[in-house]
Amino acid sequence: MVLRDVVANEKRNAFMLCNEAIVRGALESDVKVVAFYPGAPTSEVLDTFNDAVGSFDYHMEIATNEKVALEICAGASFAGIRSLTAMKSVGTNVASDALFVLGYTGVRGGLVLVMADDPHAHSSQSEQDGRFFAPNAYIPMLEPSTAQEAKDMVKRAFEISERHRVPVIVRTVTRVNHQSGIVRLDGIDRKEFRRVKWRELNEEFTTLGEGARQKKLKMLKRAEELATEFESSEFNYVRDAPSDFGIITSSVSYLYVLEALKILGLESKAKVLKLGTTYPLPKNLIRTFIKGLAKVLIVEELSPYLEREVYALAKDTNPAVTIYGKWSGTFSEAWEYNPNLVVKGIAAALGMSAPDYDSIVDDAKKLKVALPDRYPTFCAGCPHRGTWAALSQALKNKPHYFSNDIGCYSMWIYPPISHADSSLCMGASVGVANGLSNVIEERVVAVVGDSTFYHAAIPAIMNAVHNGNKFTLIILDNSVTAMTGQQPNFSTDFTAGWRQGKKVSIENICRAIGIEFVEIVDSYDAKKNIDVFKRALDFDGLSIVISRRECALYGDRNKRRKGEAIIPFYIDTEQCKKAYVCMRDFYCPCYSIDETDKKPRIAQEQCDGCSVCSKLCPFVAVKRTEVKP
Amino acid sequence: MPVQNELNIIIAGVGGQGNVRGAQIIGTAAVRAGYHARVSDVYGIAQRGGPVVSHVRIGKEIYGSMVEEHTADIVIGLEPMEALRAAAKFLRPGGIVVLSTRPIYPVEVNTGKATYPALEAIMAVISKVSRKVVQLDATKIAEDAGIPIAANIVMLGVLSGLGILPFPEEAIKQSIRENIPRSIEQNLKAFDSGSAIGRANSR
Repeated sequence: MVLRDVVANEKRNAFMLCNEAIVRGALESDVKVVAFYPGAPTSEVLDTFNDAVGSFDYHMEIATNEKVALEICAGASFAGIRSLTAMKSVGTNVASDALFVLGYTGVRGGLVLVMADDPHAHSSQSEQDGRFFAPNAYIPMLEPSTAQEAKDMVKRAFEISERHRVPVIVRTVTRVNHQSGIVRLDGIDRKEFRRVKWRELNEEFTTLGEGARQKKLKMLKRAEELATEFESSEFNYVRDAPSDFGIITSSVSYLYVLEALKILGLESKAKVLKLGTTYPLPKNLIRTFIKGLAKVLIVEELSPYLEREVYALAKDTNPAVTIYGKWSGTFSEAWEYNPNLVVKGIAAALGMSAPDYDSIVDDAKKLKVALPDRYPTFCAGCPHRGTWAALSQALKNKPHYFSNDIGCYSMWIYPPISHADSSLCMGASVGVANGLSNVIEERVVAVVGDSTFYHAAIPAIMNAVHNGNKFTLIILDNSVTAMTGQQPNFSTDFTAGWRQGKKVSIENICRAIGIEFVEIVDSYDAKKNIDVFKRALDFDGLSIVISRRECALYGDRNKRRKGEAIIPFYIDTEQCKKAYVCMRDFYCPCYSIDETDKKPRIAQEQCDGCSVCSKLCPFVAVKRTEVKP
Repeated sequence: MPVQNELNIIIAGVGGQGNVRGAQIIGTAAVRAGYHARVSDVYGIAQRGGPVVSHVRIGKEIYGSMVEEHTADIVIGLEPMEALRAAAKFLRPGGIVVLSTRPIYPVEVNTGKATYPALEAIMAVISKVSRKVVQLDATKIAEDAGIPIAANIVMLGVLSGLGILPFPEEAIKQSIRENIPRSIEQNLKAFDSGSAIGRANSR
């Protein structure tokens, strides 16, 4: 990740991550306003803009949530200013209220929404297929396969957006966002950022009742014009071959198709239609492609989005064609694809035999089965580990429902902790707690992080206050949006680009809306906090404990910046009486057992010096390393 | 081993070991040397402490960004168990494995809930499916270079020293200078130590 390549006003080739290429495309398009809420796999779009903020004059905000981010972009666009936001597709759910209406009102300055789906749910709660937003909201959508194409599409999207007065979605998937390749840099020609005189623009962006009905007609006309235009888009193309077998594909699957054809020796024996404009679809192009075919294979991840269109078009154009895809059982709607799966799919459609990958290396397979799983785990020094050490003690012998949310602490659902009764989406832990608190006998405990608190939990908390719902909410304030790579949020003193911002006080919000039990603890005070959590659980009403301590990775970075040392702890083996309290329920990755004396050891190079395990030891055998003068 | 058309590399490790950075360094170097390269990763703090696999593909013309199963020319394992997991899935029969022997135990192993396989058992299987295995304690070598975290850079050194990359060592070194934010001298020292081990094993 070389920022220099992203900001260089040069024309040359660079090796770039797709998310960086997206930023480069926006900079080459002279984007002036960008706003985001971080979410994998788009976080590096935010991070790259964050790093480049000093080099250009764009205005950047890290917003409360995706809806606010999109609305910031809409506001700028209404004034004729180019804007861009990027979000994961579940973030688009949050932003969709605004998105659907923007289809009606239209926009003025180019507005580009980069939306990333996450097939395989690498870092998401679902495998949602976000493509359906586009036809549903009548908003055009482009889908790149590579970093180069992503940059080209972002630039084209700004142009389409302004010409048709509509936001444009650039839809990616994780394997596109997190792919690096050669990207051709064009020059960066930027105009000076100047405020606009609204009174000179003379335009309205409203929709309601009769206005909405009239705008719907305009929107349909726009969709038709876009459909006509996309018939000859440079992003749709055919790799021709003298064959009656054709493949229709898009996104990262296109790359797998090319690879699979090479592996099977079919490069010149199959036609391929690569679709880049997936809403509106170039229907005539698809009709022409399938006309003379005996067999057509659709290769796309997740839902049969393209496939259902092909079925519909084949009905008139070529009813005899055999269609292979998800409905034929050739491919699954579940999980991401890879070259091997596509090789198998093509071979199946053609009645060929595919290489039997699984039997190639039998021995390795056998031992692989015996390998223990490795789950993601909390970092050394993570404040969530300290919070859990105390909270788990307080919850012992207290029948309860545990309502988890979205953040690093989601990992409490993984072994060895495996503790959560539900975990849905941003802020839902509190919403669900409202519902449960009136229908189950046990105490409901909800947890939410600082960033998630601002993003979506506040309405549900106010709901509890107003309706008198009784439960306990633990707010895990690690002062940064940790899960997505430690971006500043409202709990820090920093805004985008690490510029000075105003912290929004969590406790002030809680107290201002009338919550009586609000206590603040240091997540590292594991022993002391047990009692606070117990009192909160026993409180007859809504109780809030804010467990506060900065994210260990973020804290380490700050320490390095200030030149402060990280002082590790060690086990005093003389004093250790093998109680194992330090490691039994604590699960710190620094710990292991020494085979000779069966006593724990702390890996010095990994220890973050958080001190929590030392507080848990009943024999005071965990000690801080003495600092050499 | 001369590269005819393409070179498929898998880097396997545990989140936090520097997979992604290693893959970027090779990719950047390849492109600078005039090759086509694609790298595929899964980023994110969600991968912290979990298994991470980076795909690096170098050649004249590269389509896909992911390595097809059982076609990797070389698997670089930053951790033994993950090396085996990746070799079992991606290594082509007769490929090369470079493996750092220092294990990172999953918390289940640390707490006695699971057993970490014996290094000999891991090595026995890897030796069966590969043409050559280079073993080293990359963390120890990185420590000696004054930068314990640079085990990934040591491994890149080994890769380079083995002589399989289709471009000169200097291209990787230049890429390290550009991709590493600090302690460049120590990183280059770690790289050189790795490279010497690679050269000693290149036949």
